[in-house]
Amino acid sequence: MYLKTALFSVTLFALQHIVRLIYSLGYHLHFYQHYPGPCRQFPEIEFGSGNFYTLPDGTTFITSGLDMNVFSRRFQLHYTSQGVEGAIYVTNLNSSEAVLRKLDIIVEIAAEEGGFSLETFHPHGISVWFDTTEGHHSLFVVNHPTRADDRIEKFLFDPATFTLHHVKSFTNPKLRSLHDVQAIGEDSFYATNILHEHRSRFFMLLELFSLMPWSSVILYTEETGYSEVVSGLMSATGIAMSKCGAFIYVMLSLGSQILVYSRGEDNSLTLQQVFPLYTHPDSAVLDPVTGDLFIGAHPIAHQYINHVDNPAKHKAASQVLHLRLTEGNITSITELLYDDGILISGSSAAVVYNNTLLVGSSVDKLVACKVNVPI
Amino acid sequence: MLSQALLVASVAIACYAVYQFSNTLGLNGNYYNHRPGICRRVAGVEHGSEDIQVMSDGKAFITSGYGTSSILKYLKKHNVKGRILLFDFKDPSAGAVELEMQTGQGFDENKFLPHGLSVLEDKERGEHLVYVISHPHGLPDLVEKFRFSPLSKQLIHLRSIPLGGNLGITNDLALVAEDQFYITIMAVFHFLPLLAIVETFLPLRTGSVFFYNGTEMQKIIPSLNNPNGVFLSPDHSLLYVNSFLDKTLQVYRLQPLTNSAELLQTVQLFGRGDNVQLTQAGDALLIGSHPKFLLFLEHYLALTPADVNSPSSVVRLPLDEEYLVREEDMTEMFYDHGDLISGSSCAAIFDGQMLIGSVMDSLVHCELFVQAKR
Repeated sequence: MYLKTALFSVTLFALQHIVRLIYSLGYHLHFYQHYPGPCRQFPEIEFGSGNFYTLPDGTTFITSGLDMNVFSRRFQLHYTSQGVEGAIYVTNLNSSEAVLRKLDIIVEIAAEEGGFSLETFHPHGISVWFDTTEGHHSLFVVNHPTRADDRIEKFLFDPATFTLHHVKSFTNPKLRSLHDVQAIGEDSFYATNILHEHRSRFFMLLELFSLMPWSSVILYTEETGYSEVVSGLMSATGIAMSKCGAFIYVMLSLGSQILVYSRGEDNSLTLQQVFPLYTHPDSAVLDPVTGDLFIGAHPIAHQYINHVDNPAKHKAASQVLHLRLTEGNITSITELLYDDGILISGSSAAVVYNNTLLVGSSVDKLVACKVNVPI
Repeated sequence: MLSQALLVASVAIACYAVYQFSNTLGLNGNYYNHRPGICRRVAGVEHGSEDIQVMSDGKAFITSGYGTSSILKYLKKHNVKGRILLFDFKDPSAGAVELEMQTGQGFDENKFLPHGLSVLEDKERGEHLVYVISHPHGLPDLVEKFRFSPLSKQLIHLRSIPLGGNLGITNDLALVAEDQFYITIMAVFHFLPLLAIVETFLPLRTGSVFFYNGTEMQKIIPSLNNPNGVFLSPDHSLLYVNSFLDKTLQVYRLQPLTNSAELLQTVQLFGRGDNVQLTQAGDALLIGSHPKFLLFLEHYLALTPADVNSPSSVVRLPLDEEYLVREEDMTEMFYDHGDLISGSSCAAIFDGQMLIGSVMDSLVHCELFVQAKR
């Protein structure tokens, strides 16, 4: 009698969970393509332009060659067989014909055991901090080194020679399955853990499909060390900071939301706004001129999951959203671009500068479009 | 054991039916606003701009003041008048001008409630023949025939074409030649006011396309699910019909000798397409569509529709050399949650501008900054 009830309840629970998952995978969704103007692909990039950071003068840093230890074996094979390398590119969106340049990376300290090495460098999220006293740019980049724990790398940018000098690696057990980083000082940052599990693919998939909210935001400062400032999130991906530094924006991809936090004096985060987004945002790039946010998103989840597993075979729809902010809150949202995956698959980042829309993808191309629509 | 299996089976079928139904209502899918350029409402148009057709000189005829017996209270409250407007793409700041109708005998302007329109263009003298479907209250539907006088800017009523009493509720027409046109019968349950709405939900296949040859109506395409807008390809060989319920655009090849039509293509629209127009370049179809039908119904049945938003979408369907739709290159030119325009029903393009019409809301004029991709 009780066994039957228990069995029935468990089956019902499992059923509703499966239905929820299938619904969130988006098999029933369809959207129309549209573009803000004529678009072109950059021939230099074949394997990802996952994340951007744009400086006020239009200089944009782009990370490329994403690989995570929890990605599938098929993906890793494809990655190595194609000879993909982790790299950071730079371009200037001020010029009408933006040209890409790969940055040379110089490792100051000889690579010790487990230290930074270009062979195992797989960059993901990026954030730049301009030190006004020293007058140099520090790049903070999320790195997923092969067969090692995720960590944050710090580089100094030399604009004269277009090189990056590797300065420091930030490692800590609190940095789990990292996604993005937001610099808040010369040696301090917020970082997002998209998942708690970071080693085993099996447990990562289990955590993902169980929809457990174990994602978090980590804060690091020299004085306070590593601390978990926000926990209980549902797959937090991108993180960005407002121009004034008062607000932090966290993208929840599976949770389909943007969380707006106001930043306290002690860098604590207080939730200010929950903005529902009926799509899966990857990263948010701040427009250095207007302070608006541009988001690269994955509108149809099952396409993106298949695409990251087998990029050669599966295309994933791409979507760029433009968010306007008022006093930190998100007040309007427009879709700038939607593509079925033919032009660009799995858009993960976007920015508009000087009427050019730059769209990056996790493991696909880099695209620039002229923006003819009013922004 | 058997009864349990039957129970499971019926629950499964019920779930599927609910899912399909929610699909026709457009409940899933969330879309974002986007525009092809600067868009503004045209002043003075508040009660719809259901169908638009633009001439080769940039003058567009627009029907306004849509009404049927289902929404009498709304018509009365807002004193809705059936009108035909003229918009000149070459002088957009002049806005939409109401055309004075010079009535002959028998035409009652007060009973004129226009719906779809089709215009036979007179390129030499500009005396275009404007045919408009009208739903006079309490009477069977009619097609009113007007001649446009370019000098006096008036519409001279020539005749009212009766369609035969019991056909049902008509929607749109497409002219082949003078007094010869194809016309869609959208719903047959017209004896009770709101009953026709049932036909927009249940796939009863009671709709059809007729051909009026000058004297009588002949049924050309039977068994359609709620056909809405109808349009002819430039060479008059193909007929495009929107199936409102199926959310598809059907493309037929006309067989005039056998008075029938052969279905060539069914294009999945994912929103409920209303009227169809051709772009100025003649290389694509423009369809005004309702992405979320449930919201459109709320908007349609509201006492003050302007207070209830219904999303609007304009979709562009490029055509190949044989006037068939290239489905892979379909794009959406405009999407609005309903704040600028609710319930978009048609769109027309001329010289880098677009007019978007709605069933019972505003008329929007956009400057097109974006060219089509292909």
